[in-house]
Amino acid sequence: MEVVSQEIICMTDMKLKGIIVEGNFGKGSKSEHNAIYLDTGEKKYRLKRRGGNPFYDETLHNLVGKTISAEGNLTDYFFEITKEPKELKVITKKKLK
Amino acid sequence: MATLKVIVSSKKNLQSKYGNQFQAVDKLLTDLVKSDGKRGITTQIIYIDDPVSASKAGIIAVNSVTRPTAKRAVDDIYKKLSPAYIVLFGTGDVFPFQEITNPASDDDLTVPSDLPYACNIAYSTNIASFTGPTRVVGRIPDIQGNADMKYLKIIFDAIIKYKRVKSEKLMDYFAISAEVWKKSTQQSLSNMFGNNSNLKISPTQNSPHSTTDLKPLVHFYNCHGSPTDSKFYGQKGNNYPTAQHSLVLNGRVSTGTVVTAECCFGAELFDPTNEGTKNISIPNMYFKNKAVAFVGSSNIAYGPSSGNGLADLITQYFIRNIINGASTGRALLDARQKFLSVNGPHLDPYELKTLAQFCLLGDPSIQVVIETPVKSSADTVENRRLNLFNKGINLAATIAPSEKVKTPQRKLKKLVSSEMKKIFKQTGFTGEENEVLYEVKTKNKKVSAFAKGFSGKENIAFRTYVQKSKKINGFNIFDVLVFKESGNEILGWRLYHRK
Repeated sequence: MEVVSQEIICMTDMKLKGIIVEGNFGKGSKSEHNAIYLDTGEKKYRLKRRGGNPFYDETLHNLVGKTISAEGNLTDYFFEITKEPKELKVITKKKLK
Repeated sequence: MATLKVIVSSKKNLQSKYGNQFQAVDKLLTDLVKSDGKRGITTQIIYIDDPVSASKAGIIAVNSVTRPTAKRAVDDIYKKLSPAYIVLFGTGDVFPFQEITNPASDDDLTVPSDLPYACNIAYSTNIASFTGPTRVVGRIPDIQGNADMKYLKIIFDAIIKYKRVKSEKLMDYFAISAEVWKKSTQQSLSNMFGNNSNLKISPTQNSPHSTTDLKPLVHFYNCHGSPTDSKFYGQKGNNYPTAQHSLVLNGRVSTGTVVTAECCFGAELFDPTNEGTKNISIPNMYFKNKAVAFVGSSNIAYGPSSGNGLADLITQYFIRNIINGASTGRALLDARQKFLSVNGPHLDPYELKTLAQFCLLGDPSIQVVIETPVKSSADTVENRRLNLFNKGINLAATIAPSEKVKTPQRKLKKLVSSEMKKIFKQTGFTGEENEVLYEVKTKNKKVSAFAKGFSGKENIAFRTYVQKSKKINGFNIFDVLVFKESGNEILGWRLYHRK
């Protein structure tokens, strides 16, 4: 079938690691809000938990500043987390003296 | 007999999507043609990628249905047949939405739209080409990515068996607003129905809504929406409760309901397998429950929190036209033209995006209200289309859209008049916010000369300032301030609140 529409890109079962950060979505629009993103260092993905509230999800807001690994699906606007995200311990290398 | 209505689709995409059920799909379309015939409407089905069907319509079939070929085919059909109603059949995976480059500065790259199909200008992705709509267009949507025959049978059954109602029946309504936009919604309802007493506010009047609540034939939403999401959301502070859920609508909506939704992504038709809870979209659920029209936005939408503007206007014009007896398709065409007349001749980028993103889902030939015969005058559908065509052509000739300029002039020159400073102070801005300049290419030299008469300059521009967000109750709150100017003269300003 020839795809002719506005394709909804959907990459399933992806694993991403990064830091949870807050950022603005939909500036000045009817649905502008403080969204949660996963910053992988290469790209920022707007996050949503499967079936979760896209505007305010306390579970995700509580992870701000933490490094996590998450599994889910990538769509046009979201990385939709399908499993409970795992918090990772950040190991800082000590400087050799 | 002249063709009054065309149903345009792609045979190859329908065959691919529905497989051996294609004949059953084709029969549903044929049944609609027969039913239209009984109410005096001559309808023709045109598969633009089928040589036999295309030839019958007097056009050359396209090899492959893409956005440019679909637009060209609809234009060719219009030139050949001048139909009063153009029905696009199928969602985006059957017949493409056009894609317009997003004129506003936000997270959307493009605006999926049916507006270009309603305009007399050749394929383009620039909104500036589509400021003179002349045609009545609506889309009967199936479900993206799903060949659901049961759904299709319901939607066609609803169209074929539709019975008009007295206009009084449309004065009762179901309306729900996010608490933060209560004032704006109250004004919209008063403009449409003369009262706002039925308004529900979310929070606290959240989903689920009862069958009694949902019984009225007009539904109006001013809520939050999110991409690929089967819910609309209310808001008060950082509480975003579910104001409506497609799942809960099932079995509770009256046959023949007409819906408008100002929500972001309110009319987005997504594949339910991509939705977190695997539910179909709210518009698809309305049609599954025999609604007949849904006007909403394909992506991020705008409007003020108090007063009316942008999304508020186009939706309320549509409903008022329906109540006054227009077909659903004419109601949207007239609403688009009125939106252009009221906001024109110079359109800022947010007005342009609003124009592009609001589309009609449903058969555009459905007239909701029973006509009351008037002894003193009469008007044929052809005459109404002639008038709307004329208006559209005039709008295209006079509406001057704005286009983004790379370097804001004001920042370079550091020219901030005392008048601007006063407005900054009044609106809580500093002038240091993110600034974007949009220039208007005025189409009429007399208008340019008139502007020069009072400002010394012919050019007209919109200058937008987007506030850095302020954290209130855990949420980023900010406004967009739009100045209209000519030379150093401020011609006006508007404040679009965060919604």
